[in-house]
Amino acid sequence: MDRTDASVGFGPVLAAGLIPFVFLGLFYCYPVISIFFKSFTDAGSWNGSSLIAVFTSKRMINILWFTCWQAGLSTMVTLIVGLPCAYFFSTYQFRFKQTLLTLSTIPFVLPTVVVAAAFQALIGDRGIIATPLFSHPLFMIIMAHVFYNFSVVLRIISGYWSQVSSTYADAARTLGAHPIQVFFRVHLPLIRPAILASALLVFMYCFCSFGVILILGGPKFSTIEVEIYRQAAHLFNLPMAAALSLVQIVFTFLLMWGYTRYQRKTAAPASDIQYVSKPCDRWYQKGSVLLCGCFIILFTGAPMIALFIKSIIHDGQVSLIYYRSLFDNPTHSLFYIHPVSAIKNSLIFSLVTLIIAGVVGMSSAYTIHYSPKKMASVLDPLFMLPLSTSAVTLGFGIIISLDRSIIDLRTSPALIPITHSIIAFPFVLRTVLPAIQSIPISLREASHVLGAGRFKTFMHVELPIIIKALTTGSVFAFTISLGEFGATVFTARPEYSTMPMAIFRFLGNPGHMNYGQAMAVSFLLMCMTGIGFVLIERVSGTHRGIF
Amino acid sequence: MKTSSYELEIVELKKRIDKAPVLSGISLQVKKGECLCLLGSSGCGKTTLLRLVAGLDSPESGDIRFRGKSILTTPAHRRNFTMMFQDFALFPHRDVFSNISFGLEMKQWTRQRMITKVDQMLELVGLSGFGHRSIDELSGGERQRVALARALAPEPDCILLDEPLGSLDRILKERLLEDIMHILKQVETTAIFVTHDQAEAFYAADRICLLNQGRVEQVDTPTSLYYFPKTLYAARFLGFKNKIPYRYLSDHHIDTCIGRFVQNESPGHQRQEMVPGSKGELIILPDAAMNVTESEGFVDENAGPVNRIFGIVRQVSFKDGYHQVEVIPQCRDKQDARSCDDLILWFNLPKESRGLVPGTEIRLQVDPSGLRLFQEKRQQIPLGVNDV
Repeated sequence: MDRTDASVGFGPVLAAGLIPFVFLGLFYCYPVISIFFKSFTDAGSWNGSSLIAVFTSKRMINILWFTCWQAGLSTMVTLIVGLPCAYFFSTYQFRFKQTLLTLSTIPFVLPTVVVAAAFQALIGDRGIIATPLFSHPLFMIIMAHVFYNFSVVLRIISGYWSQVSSTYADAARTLGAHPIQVFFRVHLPLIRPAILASALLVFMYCFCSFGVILILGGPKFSTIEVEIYRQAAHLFNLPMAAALSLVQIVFTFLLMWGYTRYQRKTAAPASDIQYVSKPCDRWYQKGSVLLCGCFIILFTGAPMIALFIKSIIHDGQVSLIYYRSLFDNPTHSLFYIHPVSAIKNSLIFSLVTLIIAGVVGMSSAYTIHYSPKKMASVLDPLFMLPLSTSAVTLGFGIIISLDRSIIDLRTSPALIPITHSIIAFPFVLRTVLPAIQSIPISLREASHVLGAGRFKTFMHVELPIIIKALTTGSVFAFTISLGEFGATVFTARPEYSTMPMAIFRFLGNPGHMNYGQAMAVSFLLMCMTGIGFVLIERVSGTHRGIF
Repeated sequence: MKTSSYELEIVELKKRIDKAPVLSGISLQVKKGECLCLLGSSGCGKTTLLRLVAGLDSPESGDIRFRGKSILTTPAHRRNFTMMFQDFALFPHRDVFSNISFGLEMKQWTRQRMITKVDQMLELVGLSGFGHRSIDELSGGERQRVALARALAPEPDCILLDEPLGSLDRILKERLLEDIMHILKQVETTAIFVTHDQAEAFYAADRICLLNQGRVEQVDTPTSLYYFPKTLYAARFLGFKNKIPYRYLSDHHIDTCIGRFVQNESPGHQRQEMVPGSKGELIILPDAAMNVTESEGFVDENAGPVNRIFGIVRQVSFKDGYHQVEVIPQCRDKQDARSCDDLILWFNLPKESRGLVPGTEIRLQVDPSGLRLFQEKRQQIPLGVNDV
């Protein structure tokens, strides 16, 4: 915005800005800086040995290499699968397109632990279609990543593609280009920014993949994220974990920076996709669209249905035993996470997250909107920084930094919703900011002229306009919190376990009872996040801010 | 003329879009080296027709023949017809040179031959040295020239132009139209030019095909179309507004509410044979009248003064060397059921005309060659479709 509201002084901006600044400074910047120091120090003295070890030890180099190539392979497969679907979505008109788009987006909002459990249920060694090839950890990891990221490619590319005028293709055809030449010489170069943007984003998500690899990869496959967790939680080698976190932070920053560059070129493609497309009337067009639709339904539906089936089949019979057993505590073990209390914890933490993320997200949106243009262009990416930091590094940073010095929150349950809010509030910001920016200045001026002060203007004019966006963002924060795993494993003590942690523990323990309970809790969690997402979709009709 | 002498023949072409008929049986012939204009208001199907010729869409039925052979099954990229698009569709990822060379690359020309051709094309459109510019750097007029060069470079058998001046401003339009036509005549390519602008069509076309709701209304040279529109729709589309209901008496005499008119037998004007008592609409060309004094003018022995209009001057304006006069004609035949209420006639009177004062009486003598009769059965087209 070029004009800033003159009636608002610097004071209210400062006041609104204080909330996100303190919040970010304390729970984001401070932990990240702590990681930085921790990786250079060992027992209080300056020492770069952990950092050097990351690049010299054979095991660490293997981990770095595996992290990169599994992300690269997952990205390639996702693009190969997503590109044809994106073509059909952007080119042809067909029924249920919006429904298919919604369906394909559900995996993206599912918790990683649920995705991992669903693939266990579908193609794992005890799964519905268990074959040696399918059940190979690597195959399962790649498939889970494709499942999770398919909609990223579909949405970004098809949104951009449909904006590319079809006359370019017509022009190429009249100039003698064969349809294949049209694709390679015209379409592909034109949609290149969207392909690169989506590929970078998918690569980053797979690079930071934690839950999927921890659960599906077994002991053999480890990414940087998983290794940070192992070093910190199992080996208590904090300097090593810190050094790995630093490497991870540098990588993700670079990836995010690259993505933002291309994303700007693709001009907000994921929001409000307006498909201008032609009807498909040839048999092969109808056929390929049908094929695409079936693929999406099957590919997104199968793991979710497998999860459901596995949660209600006991000894080859339909039974609710796994659900019923969630209420028992047979072992009386200290480390046993009671599923009911995990569900209760999850709901409480998510509700608190909804409130904190809502307040912080909205106040940061206000700060950006009312700041001078130059300052806003600095603040906006600053507030989005948590997005380019992986959950595991964040969780790790928080426990190593908040244990003593400033405030001791390590044992407090408050740490969990706070960590979740750091992860979720940028999404609130991204949904609320466009809504605030869409309010014409004249509306506020009219309100002031009619005698309303700043507060009354906010309550009676601005809030009613942005309430829909705020609700959308907050509900999204709620679903993120429900499924958050990477940071929670660090910040939550056993008595404050959440549903994803319960699933992780169940899957890690032997026996069909544990397995079945994992499926049952996963299915419940899937339904909760799924309902949250469909609710968002119904309320707002868009997915602004998800990508 | 023999059929085989036509370069391009369109036979009974039909096309529906979303189940609504867009073209309902179009037949048309284009001669070699000719520029044919498809003229019509928006939604008449002219762009659809062009896309069918280009091969970008396919028709429900009918045939398109090129040099006697059907090309209906030939895909667009094998037809060797190029098209210039309304938004130019210049590839944003290629510079000027490689936009123009695209069609040549598709024909797998050698690099050297390509460079020579593109340079030649750039010179033809007056953009020598622009080869390495990016498309973003070009002005609207320059883009249009690059689009033309790109369409001409592969030496097409026929060039199709879809409103090539549509998105430009008026002054640029006129200059560029002159340039395009000059270039097209130089390269002697057969061209089909789609436009909704009558002035453009009259300037550019060897022949004009007037389309209306998916049908051919008339195909003629610009002069014939202007002076002898065959249908009331054509007349109205060309802007002839002086429309009066008539009743045919006999022997070329017709009766209207503002008086009696007689058609003459001038050469070139096919006078329709009509049944006495038949009804229809009379169009009086705006240039066909001059103001006269009471003693002047033609008087028929039986009917008295004919081809005479009495009326009140409503407004006078000076336009293109004429006095444009709005006249409220005086009703002659009060008994006639057809009313001439609210009837206003427009005439272009020579600049020497005197006594044109609003509110005063005027006496006009109409040249019989400026009368056009449209019998009732021809009036399938609702009036007002193209009223400006």
